[in-house]
Amino acid sequence: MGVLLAAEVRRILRSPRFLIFTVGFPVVYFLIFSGLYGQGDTPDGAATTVYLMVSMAAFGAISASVSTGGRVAVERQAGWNRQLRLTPLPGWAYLVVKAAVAMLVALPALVLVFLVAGLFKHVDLTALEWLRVFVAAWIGVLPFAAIGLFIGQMATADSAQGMATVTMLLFSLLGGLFIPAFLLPSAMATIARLLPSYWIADTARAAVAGDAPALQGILVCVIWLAAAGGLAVWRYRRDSLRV
Amino acid sequence: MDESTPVAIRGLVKAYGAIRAVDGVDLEIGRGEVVALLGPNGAGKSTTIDALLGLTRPDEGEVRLFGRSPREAVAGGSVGAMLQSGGFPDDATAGELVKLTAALFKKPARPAIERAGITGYAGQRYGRLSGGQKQRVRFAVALVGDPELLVLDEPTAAMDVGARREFWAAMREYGRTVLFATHYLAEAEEFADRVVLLRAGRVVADGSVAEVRALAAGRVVSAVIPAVPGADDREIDSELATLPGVTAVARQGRRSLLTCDDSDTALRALLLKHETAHDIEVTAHGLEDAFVQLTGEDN
Repeated sequence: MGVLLAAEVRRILRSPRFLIFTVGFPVVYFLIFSGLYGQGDTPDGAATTVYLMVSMAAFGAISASVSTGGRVAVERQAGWNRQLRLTPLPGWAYLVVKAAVAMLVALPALVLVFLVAGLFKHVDLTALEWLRVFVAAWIGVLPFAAIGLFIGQMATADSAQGMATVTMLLFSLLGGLFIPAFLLPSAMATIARLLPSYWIADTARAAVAGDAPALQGILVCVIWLAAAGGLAVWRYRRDSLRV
Repeated sequence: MDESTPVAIRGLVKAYGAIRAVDGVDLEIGRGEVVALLGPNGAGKSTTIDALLGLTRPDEGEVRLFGRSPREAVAGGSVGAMLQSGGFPDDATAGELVKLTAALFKKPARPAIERAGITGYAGQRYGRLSGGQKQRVRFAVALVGDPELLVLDEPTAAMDVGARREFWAAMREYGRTVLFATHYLAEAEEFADRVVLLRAGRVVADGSVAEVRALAAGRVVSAVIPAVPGADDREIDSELATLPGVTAVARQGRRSLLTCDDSDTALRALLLKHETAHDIEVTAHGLEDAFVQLTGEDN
C-alpha cells in the first residue's frame, strides 16, 4: 500500500496543472483578499487576515482533495484499476490509498497559505496555535476526500473534471469560504451550517482560539464522510462486478 | 480439483442484460499448453478472460485456477495477465509501473524488465511510448509475479511482424502455460498448441490446429451452374445438395459452393448432371475456412 501511495504522489507532483490550480490559486486569492480587506476585526473577534487565511487554506485543501478524487475516473476509464486488481492489492486498499492521496495533496495548499500568511501578512500565532489550526483544517478535509472519491467512481473521464470543479466551488461558496457566513442571509447561513466546508473553516478558527470544535460541526462532517464514503464503496463494488 | 491444472472452467455463463456474452463454456488447460482463444468480435473471448481473472463474477458455473479461486490465484502470483483494456497511467514511467507491481507482489522487478526487453526505455513516461513499446511494458508487468499461467488478451495487437515473432520467441523461452485471445488466425496457427474456437459465447471447436482445421474437412467445389428451365436457383442448389460427396451447398452471387467430404465423386456427379457448369474451382479448407465456417452465423 505504501508503494502505491508513493507512486501516486509522485505522479501528481509531476503535473504542473495540479500545482497551479490547487496550490497557486488559494495563495493568490489569499493575498488579494487580505490586501483588499486589510487588518480590521470581524464581528466574531478574529483578525480578518486570520479569517481569510483559514478560508483560503480550506478552499485550497477542498479543491485539491476533490479534484484528486476526480482523477480516479480517468484511471477507471483507462483500466488502471482493473490492472491493479490483477495484483495482491485488495479492493479496500485501493480506495484507502486514493483517499490517502487526496488527504496528502491537501497539505501543500494548507501549508503554503499558512506560510505566506505567517511570513508576509503578519499572522503571528504561537507554535501550538499553528499546530492546532493545521490539524483541525487537515482533519476537516476527510469528508472531501470521500466526496472526491465518489465523483471519481461515478463520473466518466470526460465529466469528472467538470463535476469536481462544480462540487468544489459550490461547497466553497455555500460554505461561506468566499463570503463569510455571518454576511449571508439567514437561510443561506442555515444551509452553510449543513456543509462540511463551513465547518472545516469554523473548526480551524476555533482551534486558533483554543476552543473545542462544535458538536454540530463534528456531526455534519461525520455524516458527509460516511455518506460519500459509503457511496464511493458502493460504486466501486458495482464497477468491479460488472466491468 | 487438481491443483496442478492451470485452468478449469465449468459451465461458465455471463449475461449482460438479455445478451448471454458467455453461454456455457467448458475449458480445461493443462500445464505447459499454449492455447489460442479464437473468435470474432462479440464471441465472448474478453468476458471469458475477465471471468478467468476474477474481474467479473460469473452468473453460473465455476472457474478454478490451480485449484483455487481466480482472486486467490491472481493475488498469489500464479497468474499474470495482459489485458486488452489494461490502461496504465500516462504520467508514470515504464520502470515505475513495473516496480510498483513488483512491490505489490513482493518480487524483484529487474528479471521482468529484462525479459520483456524494456530496459532501454524504462525511464520514459508510459504515455510517450509507441504502441509496441507499451505492449512490452504490459508484458513486463504480467511477468512480474513470475506466474505459472499467462493470460493474454490480444497480446500482439500493436506489434509489427518482427516484434510479434520476438514476442512469441520470448514467450516460448519462458515456457509457461499460456492462454491468449487473438483475432489473428496466423498467430494461432503458428504459435498455439491448441485452438479453442468461440462463437456466440460457446465453444464450437477445441483441439490442435490440425484437428480444428480438419473439422472443416474436405474441400469446396465452386462452380457457375447455368440456369435450368423450370427451376430457380434455390431448387438447383437443393438438388445439388443431394449429389454424392456433397455435404452442404451455399450460394455466392452466381456461384454455387458445394462443401464436400469427397470432392472427386462430387465433381463427377456435378458434371454428369450439369455438363455446362463452368469456372469450376476446387479448394481445400485452411484454418481460416474452419474459422469462418464454425463461427459464421449460418452454417
